[in-house]
Amino acid sequence: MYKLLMDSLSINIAVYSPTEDGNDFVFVDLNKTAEDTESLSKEELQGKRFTEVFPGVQSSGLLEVLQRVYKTGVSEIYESPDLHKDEKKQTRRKNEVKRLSNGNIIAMYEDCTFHKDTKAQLESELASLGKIVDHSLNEIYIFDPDTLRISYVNKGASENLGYRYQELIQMTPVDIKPAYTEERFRTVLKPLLDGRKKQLVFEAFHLRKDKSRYIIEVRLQLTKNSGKEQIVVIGNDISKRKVSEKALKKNIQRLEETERIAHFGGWEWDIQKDIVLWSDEVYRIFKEEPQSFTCTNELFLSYLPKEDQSKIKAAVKKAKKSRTKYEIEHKIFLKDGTTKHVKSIGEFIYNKDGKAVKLAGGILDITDYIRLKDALNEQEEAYSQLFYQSQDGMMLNDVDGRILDHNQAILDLLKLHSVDDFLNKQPFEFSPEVQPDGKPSSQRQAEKLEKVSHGVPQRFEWQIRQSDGRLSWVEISLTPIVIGGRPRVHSVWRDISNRKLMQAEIAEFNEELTAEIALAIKKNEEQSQYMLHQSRLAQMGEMISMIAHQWRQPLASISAISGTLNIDVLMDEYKKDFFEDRLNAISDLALHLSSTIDDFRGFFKDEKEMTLVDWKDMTESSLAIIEPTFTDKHIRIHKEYTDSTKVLTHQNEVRQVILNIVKNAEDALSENKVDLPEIWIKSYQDQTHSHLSIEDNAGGIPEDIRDKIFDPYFSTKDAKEGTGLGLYMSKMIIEDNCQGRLKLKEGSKGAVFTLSLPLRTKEKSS
Amino acid sequence: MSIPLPELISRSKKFELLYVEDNEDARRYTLEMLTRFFEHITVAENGLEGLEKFKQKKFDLILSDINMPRMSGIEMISKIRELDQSILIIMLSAHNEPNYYEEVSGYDVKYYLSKPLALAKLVETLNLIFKDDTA
Repeated sequence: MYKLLMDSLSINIAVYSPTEDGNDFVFVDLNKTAEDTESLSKEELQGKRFTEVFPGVQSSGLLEVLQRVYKTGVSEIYESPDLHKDEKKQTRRKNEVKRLSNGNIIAMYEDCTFHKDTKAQLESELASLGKIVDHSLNEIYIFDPDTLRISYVNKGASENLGYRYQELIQMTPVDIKPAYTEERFRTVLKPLLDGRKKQLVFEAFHLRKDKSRYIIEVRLQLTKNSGKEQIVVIGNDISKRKVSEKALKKNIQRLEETERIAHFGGWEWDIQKDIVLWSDEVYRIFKEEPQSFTCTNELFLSYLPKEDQSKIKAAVKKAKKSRTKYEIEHKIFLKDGTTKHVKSIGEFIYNKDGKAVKLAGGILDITDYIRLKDALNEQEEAYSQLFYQSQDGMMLNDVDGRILDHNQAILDLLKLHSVDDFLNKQPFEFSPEVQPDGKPSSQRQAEKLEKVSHGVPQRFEWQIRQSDGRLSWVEISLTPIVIGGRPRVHSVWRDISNRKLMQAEIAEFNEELTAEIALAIKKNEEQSQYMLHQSRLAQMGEMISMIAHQWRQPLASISAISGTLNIDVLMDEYKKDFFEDRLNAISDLALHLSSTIDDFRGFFKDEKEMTLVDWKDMTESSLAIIEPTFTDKHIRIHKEYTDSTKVLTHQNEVRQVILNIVKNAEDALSENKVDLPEIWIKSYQDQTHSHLSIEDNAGGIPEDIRDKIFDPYFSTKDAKEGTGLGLYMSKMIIEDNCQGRLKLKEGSKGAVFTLSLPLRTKEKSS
Repeated sequence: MSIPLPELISRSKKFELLYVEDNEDARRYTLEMLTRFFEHITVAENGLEGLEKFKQKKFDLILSDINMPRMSGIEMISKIRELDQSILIIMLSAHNEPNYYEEVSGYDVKYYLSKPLALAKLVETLNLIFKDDTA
């Protein structure tokens, strides 16, 4: 470790151990540097006497110095004269001699040997060195510490700075270091020149010919060349921009782009020179051509309104005093008459002596932001008005329901006079113990808040208790919101007491209405019952007429027979055989009368169940009753049964309908005194229904009453003749009881009534 | 005071009767009863036939139904009255039929009887005819 350290040192080190009581010294060690300097190896020297190796040390006085240091222990510096009295070398040594704790003597010396080689040899050495230096990626230049004039630059430096070699050797380092004045630069060099420092290392900006700048770490060292002091500067591009010029430009572009996008521009004010360097983006923010002029503080301030000028001056002053940053928003007036809002930030840069030399900072265009903020403020204002001035009660609650904020309307709803009564309390405290649905208010509130906490807005009706103890109704809307990162609940209370009152009124009204409707229905039912009854009576009357008609001829016959027999008895003309024969005839006629009665009774039999029956069966049995009349009236009936499907229906009721319609046809034929009265009865079927049409040639029903013939109490017949219920009841029977249809249409000769029954062949509930 | 039945019959037997009735069933037994009173009965099945038969023969009495096809009893007697104003006419009408009494009154219809024709009513009417006749 010690050895490694020794060898790596650039100074010569030799260690001696005293011998002969400190009069002479033996070589113990020497480092690599010393080996090179003496052109002797350590192995050769070890164990040998100092006076033996270097006989000249006695005369030069170095031996005396070593002896003295050994004795006194006081270190000494000794500058030796030439040791080598040869042609090649001239040696000048400055020795620092110290006694170590173990008694050994250490001599540290710098080799000041000047090689007196031939000029050519030297030049060739320099040339090869120069090549290395020239091609170094580091910026290397040499300048004169007195005149500061640059005497040499390498290729790297001239490429980096953008100046030609010839230009650079006319310049001074101050010219390429914009941050330094000559005076300041000389102050910086001082410790190097007076030997206080061997090397100066610091960071600095270098200014290129194209005015762009870059940061560089420089190492300054004092060298002597041909007895002349020179300062060698080795610059190390710490931002590694030197590695690739292109990459650098790209970076700059990127920076500029970033600035442009952010509307942020950097600037630096050299206070002393009063030059404000603006980046391109600053110019753009000010709507000026980039780098078209050099800004000064005065010029900058001229863009600002008066009040902002004093504001920024005060801020800068304060920042300088407190050595802090300043940050200020202000306006700038632009050439085109527009105004921008910007944010300026700045910080002073101090020199070594603590003097503020520069003010560096940035400017951010916040015009859009300000506009947005204004818009937001307006919106916030609007929302705040909405909240505080709404006619609906509004609250802001935390997730547990605690009231954080509220408007006046909610206090009015609750008839509260003091805000203190309300804030930080819970809504359920202003509600009855139990809501009308039987749940405690606190429990319902918790349930609703739980749902809201899962992001589901709630709307519900709620009973509140006003300060005077009265109960009222509100509709509550709860909406989850986030304010300042905290979950909150926005509650809206709408007064629905009127609605509730109205609902109660409506309910009452509905009840009344329901009662009225029930009454109307009952009346209607009674009416229907009455009509049914009337219709029945009418039908019975008709039936009785039919029976009378049916019975007329048999009764006439019976009457005539009994008259004949009576005469025969009175005239004493009694003949036994004739009597027996005529009495049998009476018996037969009585049987006929009896069977007629049976036919009619079947018609009026109540039938609860539906039965399967076809049109032919129903039509024939109906016609059987009325046919004697038809014969009487010479009405011809044409029958055509093409559909023999049996359908499920109330057959007696349908029979009555057929009879009714056929009877109507008969009446119409009689009334219109049709010469050759005819009736056509046809059955047929389609997809859904089985039909029976009954058509007559009575000329049809006048158009103006066609719509009314199914109305109750409407009759075309004389009051004595019709009740006006026949067709009404027929329609009811077919459409309500049998789920069929009864329709009227005009045929070519007269009215056509069509009875349609659904094709049901299986028992179904009806 | 009514005429004794044998006397009544002996007088009615001389009468020429025109009986007009369309219904065969009714005609059959009524005609049988009428034969007990009238020796000479001409039967017509409707008004038109009745009118034709009336024109062919001299009758003492017409007994006619009203409601008949082709020509009703009323139309027939209106035509007969144009030919003969004195012939005795008795009209028959069923209970369930409209009352034609008003309609027939203009044709000097002596008697208007309802169906079925009862023996007592026939005897009573004949009695009245002959009483008037006697008087």
